[in-house]
Amino acid sequence: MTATLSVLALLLVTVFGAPAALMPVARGFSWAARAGLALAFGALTLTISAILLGFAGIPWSIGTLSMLPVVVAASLTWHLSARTAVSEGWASDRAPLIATGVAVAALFLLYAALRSGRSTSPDFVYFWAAKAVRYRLAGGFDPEFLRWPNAIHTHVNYPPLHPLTLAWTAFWSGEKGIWRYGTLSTLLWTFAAVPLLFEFLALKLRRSHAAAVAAFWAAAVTTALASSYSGGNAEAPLLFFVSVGGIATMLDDDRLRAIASAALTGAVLTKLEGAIVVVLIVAGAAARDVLMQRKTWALRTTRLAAWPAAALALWFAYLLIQRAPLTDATREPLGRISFAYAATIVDAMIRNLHAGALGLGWTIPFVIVVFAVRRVSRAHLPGLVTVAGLLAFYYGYYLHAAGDPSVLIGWTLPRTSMPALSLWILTAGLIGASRAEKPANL
Amino acid sequence: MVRRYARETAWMLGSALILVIALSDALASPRPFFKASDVPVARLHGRLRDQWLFLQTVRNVIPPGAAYTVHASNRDVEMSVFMISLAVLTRNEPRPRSYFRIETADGGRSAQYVVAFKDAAPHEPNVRVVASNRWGHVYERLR
Repeated sequence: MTATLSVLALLLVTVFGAPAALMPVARGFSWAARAGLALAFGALTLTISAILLGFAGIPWSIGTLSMLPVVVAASLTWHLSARTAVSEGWASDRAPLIATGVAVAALFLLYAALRSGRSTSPDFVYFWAAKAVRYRLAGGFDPEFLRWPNAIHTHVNYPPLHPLTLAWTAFWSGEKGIWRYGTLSTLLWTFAAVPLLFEFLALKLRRSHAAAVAAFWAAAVTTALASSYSGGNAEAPLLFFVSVGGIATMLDDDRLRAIASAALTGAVLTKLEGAIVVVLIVAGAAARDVLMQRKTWALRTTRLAAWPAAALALWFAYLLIQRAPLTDATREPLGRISFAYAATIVDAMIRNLHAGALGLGWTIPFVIVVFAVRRVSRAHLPGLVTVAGLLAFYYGYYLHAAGDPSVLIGWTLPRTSMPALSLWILTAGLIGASRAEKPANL
Repeated sequence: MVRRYARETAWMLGSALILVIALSDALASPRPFFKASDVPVARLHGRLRDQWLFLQTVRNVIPPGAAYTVHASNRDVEMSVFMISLAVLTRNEPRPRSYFRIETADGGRSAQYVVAFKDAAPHEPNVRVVASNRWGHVYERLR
């Protein structure tokens, strides 16, 4: 019964996001890819609904949380169903069988790791699920809990998408639903991403090539998630939003702009690290537009960044009104840098970029890029800037640590480097596109 | 033909290699490959599992609404048990003795119940053990 209700809760989130699957550009996608888009958009509207209810002081329930998503879904569905698909008939052929098999095997290995508890994140019990349980019991974000000095370890200032999604399932299936199935959220978000990334890659690559890159992404990312003990934490939803937003930005097509912007909004509402990734993707896109001498670069950049910025502002406004901390007291103080361990950090960072498989997740895309280096262009800047920028950011972060940060790097980098790993694979996939590969007819 | 599909081959061989490494690591693990875990932290490591199971038993011992504090043999374990308790002892009011290794202003002294993990004990008069198991004890302060 608990399992049925948990599934039902997630299905309803997908229904909330149904308009995303009806977008003209998505209508040529497979049903699996469209379901992934719907899940993401549904989680996004649910999160915004929860924050707005928090502002209004209205207690959460299945009914109150559903109100805004239902209204948004109904009005957008009505609006979008009248529009003609622009890609119908384009994506009728299926993904190649071997690549599909590899992706399924990767997801199965992740499932086995999560089911057996081998890859459970300590943070799942320490704060992700703890926050979800508290949200559900309080029927809201519980301002007293947010302000309580002994709750700072739960990173109360973190945006709420992940614990809120867990709390939503708990409204249906109780606390037991969170503890029994919460870690499977990692599988759900990864499973949702693979067919969607395949469809995006297939807009630039021939389908066999796109399927091979998507299968590699699935193998590398599931292995990295399992080996970094990310079961039940917010890494998987963050990876979903960052990967979808990153590739949609890199594809540089106005018809994907709404998806890119929505996915980046999802990233900032999932983790504060998501905001760093979003800033880098937007900076890369702006650099691309400037170098391509597009006169509208400022407008394009603003359009891409507006929704994520507004969503983050909404969350921080809520924290401000509730007098909850805006910064994370558990983090190292900003600006207190020591270069005593500068070389140690480089060494430890390289050793911890193993991604669970001897670093193959990084090195194989690197080999592809080396062989196709002449095709690296300004179009790839959003991906390249983000990968380099994220690694540089974490290097700077570890310079702030008191003493030798090797242990801290070992705890955090396998997890925090995954958005960079994901975008590195996707960027290498696009760089590897041969000239003979014609872009799909969007 | 081979040249045409060189990139696909490279990506697919890379995927296969990663999956072989992931599978061999999973099979080499002392933990069962596919057996479902009964506790979210069961196979992560023993100490967290014990803390989780202890708090699950405590859940039904402390009356709803009563305040509790946490004692453990060292401050790191105390913090860990306290953090998990926020997720498990949801019907009770938490008053930690220490937080991130630093004693709190109240020191948890106002709590009616002491959740003592493993061999920790409150070492104070007027307490009685209300529950005990292999993971620890629950004391009630008599006032």
